[in-house]
Amino acid sequence: MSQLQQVRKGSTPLLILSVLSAEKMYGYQIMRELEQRSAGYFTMTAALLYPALHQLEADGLVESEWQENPGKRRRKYYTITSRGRKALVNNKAEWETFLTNLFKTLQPSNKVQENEA
Amino acid sequence: MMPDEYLESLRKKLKGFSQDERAVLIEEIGSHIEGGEEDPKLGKDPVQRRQKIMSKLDSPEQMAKGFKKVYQPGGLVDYLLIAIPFLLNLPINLLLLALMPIYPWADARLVIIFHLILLGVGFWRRSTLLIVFWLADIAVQLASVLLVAKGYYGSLQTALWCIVLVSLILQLGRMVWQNRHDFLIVTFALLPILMGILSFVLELTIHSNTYVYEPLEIFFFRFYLNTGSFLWFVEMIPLIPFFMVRNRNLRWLGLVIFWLLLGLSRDRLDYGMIYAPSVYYLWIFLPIAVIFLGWLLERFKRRQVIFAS
Repeated sequence: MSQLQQVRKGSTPLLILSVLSAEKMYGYQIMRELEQRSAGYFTMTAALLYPALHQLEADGLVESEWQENPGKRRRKYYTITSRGRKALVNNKAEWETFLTNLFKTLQPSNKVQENEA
Repeated sequence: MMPDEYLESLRKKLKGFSQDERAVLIEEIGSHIEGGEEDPKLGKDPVQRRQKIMSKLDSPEQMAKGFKKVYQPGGLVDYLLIAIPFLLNLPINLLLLALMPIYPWADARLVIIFHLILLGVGFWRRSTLLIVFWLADIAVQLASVLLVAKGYYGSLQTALWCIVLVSLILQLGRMVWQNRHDFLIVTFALLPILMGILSFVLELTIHSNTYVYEPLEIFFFRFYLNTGSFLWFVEMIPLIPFFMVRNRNLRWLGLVIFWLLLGLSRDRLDYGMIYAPSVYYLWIFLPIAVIFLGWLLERFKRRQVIFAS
């Protein structure tokens, strides 16, 4: 797995919590919402999404309930918990710090630019 | 691969999960596929939609691997972090008894501090099983010590220990609430507290020196005398499936045998002591009843999920 893929995989819980912070959704809806929000950049396979959802539930960050879908299979809807909302805020702040510092570090410094000039 | 073939293949790959657990997971993935098949954004042609959604699933092996990772219980390290200190309890207590005449501070408090470190390890490992085990165990130990000490440690230290006790109970309550959907963890966490409270109440209300022992009680007492020390060393064995096996029925079974051995291996039927036969029976039969109830509730809940579909 490439480093970028690892980073993307690491962001899965954050992305799921972010989507669920708006409304309760079932698995397929979450996947679609993620794709739409990111204009197709974050495409998540079901094998990544569902274990991540179950892990979030085990950690108490989301809750689930089955809802009837007449004539079809029932759907398991996930809702973010208050603990999940707190985790989302913290996680988001951590990512922001990480990305800000990453890009700050990647920017060539003035000194280097002067030398090059 | 067609949806039915995929789901059947996934069912087979979910080895270690009970039939009920598999049914629930299959139901969820089935509803995911159905969601895609009905989604007009995936195309007008139903065949095309199905192909698209199937291509975004990943293989059944990958899916099963993901679920197994989530539902993998504590594992060997967590088990050893409970079993080794548990087995060391007896020699450590004997050592402390020998040291106490020389070093008055060498008492149960040292054991509690050692167990608090193990609790810290549990938090560091983010292991729910390890955390709830040590939270419940230390809370019961600490409550017993404070009740026996009756202020012997001085008001400041007693107050500090009381704060620790309240914090442990609050933290345990939080963990139970977080895991309320998992009856196995809830039972595992609350049973020591329940047994501790009930034993304490019974020990206060029943006086064995006025009690006439019946033949069955004498049989149990002899059973304890013959097997008590042996059971002490084997009672952690049933917790192996509880920590290392994914099948929940086996985990429930491991838990019930653990508590049965725990009940049988204690000197609660000792003549002349404050313990009475009813306390001994309680320690044998009540945990079995509570665990059976937990198991039944879990089955009932899961059946509801399966049959409602």
